[in-house]
Amino acid sequence: MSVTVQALRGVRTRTAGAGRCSNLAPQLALVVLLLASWDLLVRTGVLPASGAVRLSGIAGALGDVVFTAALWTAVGDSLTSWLVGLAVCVLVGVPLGALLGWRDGVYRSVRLVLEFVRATPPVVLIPFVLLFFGPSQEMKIFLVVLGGVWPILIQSMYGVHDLEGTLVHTARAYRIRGPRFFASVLMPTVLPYLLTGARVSAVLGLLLTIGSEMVTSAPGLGRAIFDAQTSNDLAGMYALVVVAGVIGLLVNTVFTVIERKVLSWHPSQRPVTS
Amino acid sequence: MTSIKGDAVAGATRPSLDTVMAADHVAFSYSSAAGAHPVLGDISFTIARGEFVSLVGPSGIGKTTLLRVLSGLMQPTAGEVRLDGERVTEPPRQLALVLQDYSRSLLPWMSIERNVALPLRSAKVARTEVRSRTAAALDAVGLAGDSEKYPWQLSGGMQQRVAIARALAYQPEVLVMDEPFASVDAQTRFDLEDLVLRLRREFGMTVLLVTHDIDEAVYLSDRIVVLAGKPAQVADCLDVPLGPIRDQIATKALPEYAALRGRVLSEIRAASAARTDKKVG
Ligand SMILES: Nc1ncnc2c1ncn2[C@@H]1O[C@H](COP(=O)(O)OP(=O)(O)OP(=O)(O)O)[C@@H](O)[C@H]1O
Ligand SMILES: [Mg+2]
Repeated sequence: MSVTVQALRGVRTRTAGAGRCSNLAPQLALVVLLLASWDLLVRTGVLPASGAVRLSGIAGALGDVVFTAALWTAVGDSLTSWLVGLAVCVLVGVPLGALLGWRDGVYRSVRLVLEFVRATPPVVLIPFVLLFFGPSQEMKIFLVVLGGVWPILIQSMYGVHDLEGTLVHTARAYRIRGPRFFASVLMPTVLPYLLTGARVSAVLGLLLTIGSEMVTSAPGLGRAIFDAQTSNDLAGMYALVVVAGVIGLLVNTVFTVIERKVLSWHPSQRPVTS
Repeated sequence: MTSIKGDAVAGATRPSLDTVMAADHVAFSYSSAAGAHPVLGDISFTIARGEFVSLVGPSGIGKTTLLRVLSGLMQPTAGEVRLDGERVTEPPRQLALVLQDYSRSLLPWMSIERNVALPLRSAKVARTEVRSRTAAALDAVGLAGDSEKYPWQLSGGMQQRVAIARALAYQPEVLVMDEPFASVDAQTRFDLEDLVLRLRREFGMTVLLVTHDIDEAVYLSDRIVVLAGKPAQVADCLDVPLGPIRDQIATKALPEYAALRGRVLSEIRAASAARTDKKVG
């Protein structure tokens, strides 16, 4: 129902399995097993040859495509619009959310509306932004902003709202103000919320970028995947899907590493003691 | 016994002594959409330098509210608060605050040492002095060995000692505490009470303590201010002539202790009963 709760819970569960490295081996084993079963299913004809390609074929296509300028142009196009959009999300969402969260009355009155806006699936915006911008980088950026700004805005609002009470009184009583208040009290309180929001925004933005490229033929990885499919280059299509998957994985890893570093004090990141 | 508007209850204000803090006809109302909600009526009392004063009263009477007004976190709607003769308009440098909710008054992203040092660094105290004062304060509360730990790695009583250490390192003239021992177990509570008495003797601080625990008030204080009524007023002011040195067992066995305890208890009972009557009638 609410991305906030789910996202926060996500942070928690991830670290609950904090033995990270120790279960790397079984994880790898599972990957190998899945790949082997895929290959077996294609080879035995359970999966039709009209849609599935054997591992060796995908690997070969991947080897070829990695050295083409076309791939990196497409990846560059996708990542540029995604990153620019994400930057705008942060620049707009964080201050605006902070402003809304600061006053209790404002917070309570906008909360419901924002939850509603966010619950609307952002892909419905694609036809709308296409009308305004055509299949271009600008369209994708706009889409990422429109769709991705909500999680980060709402998290920023929750974070600042959470600041109330004892902590603020203590800071005021000890005359901790200005930049030091910002750096020592405000930011650490809001940061866990912001990182969760940014992670959700980032994943959503990537989805919107690649998805919109597929449906509108704006330049980028999504369009390359679509083109490969329509020209019946199945191995090439799978290779590009793998590239997209790796990008998604990298994005997630970057966020996990940042969260672990920045939030070592946070309950979600503490070693499990009990 | 209830004070008449205008002059204070006998013994509440003592102009002859060296006054550190004075509440002068302080009134306070919370304002909301439903209108003003008066909590503090007309409160006057003074605290002398070095004195240990407890504020007691039934739950919801406005003790925390009064404490926020006295420490400059909120402005009185009428009257004024003075510290060292100066009108308080914001939390003054001479005052340190220990709140009931220790788990939320410490910063979980900072080590114990950095928590204690933060107000000093904010006050631009020299680095070496910050270090020595922090170490001394942590030593005084018996946490010298835990300075690198984080608040959430400590027990409730230890966390409250960190909050006390933070106040000590700040070297205030007046230490203000709002039910600081309410959420620790009985033994820890006794230890913390004796700790505060010892530190107060060593550092010569003035202490203002809000508590709902009558035993605690009688055991610790030189004077007890009883709040009653709605809006709250000073109902009574009692001297506690039990001397500077107290002992959890011997002091509490004294007949004077029992007498004082009984008197405060009956006043708070009367105050609560009066409030309920008003609500019913
Ligand atoms: N922020 C606030 N806004 C409006 N009313 C408040 C606020 N804080 C407290 N009150 C009201 O003021 C009255 C006094 O509250 P206060 O917290 O000062 O009581 P207290 O004596 O400290 O009680 P306790 O012993 O339970 O801590 C209560 O009726 C309470 O509902
Ligand atoms: Mg209270």
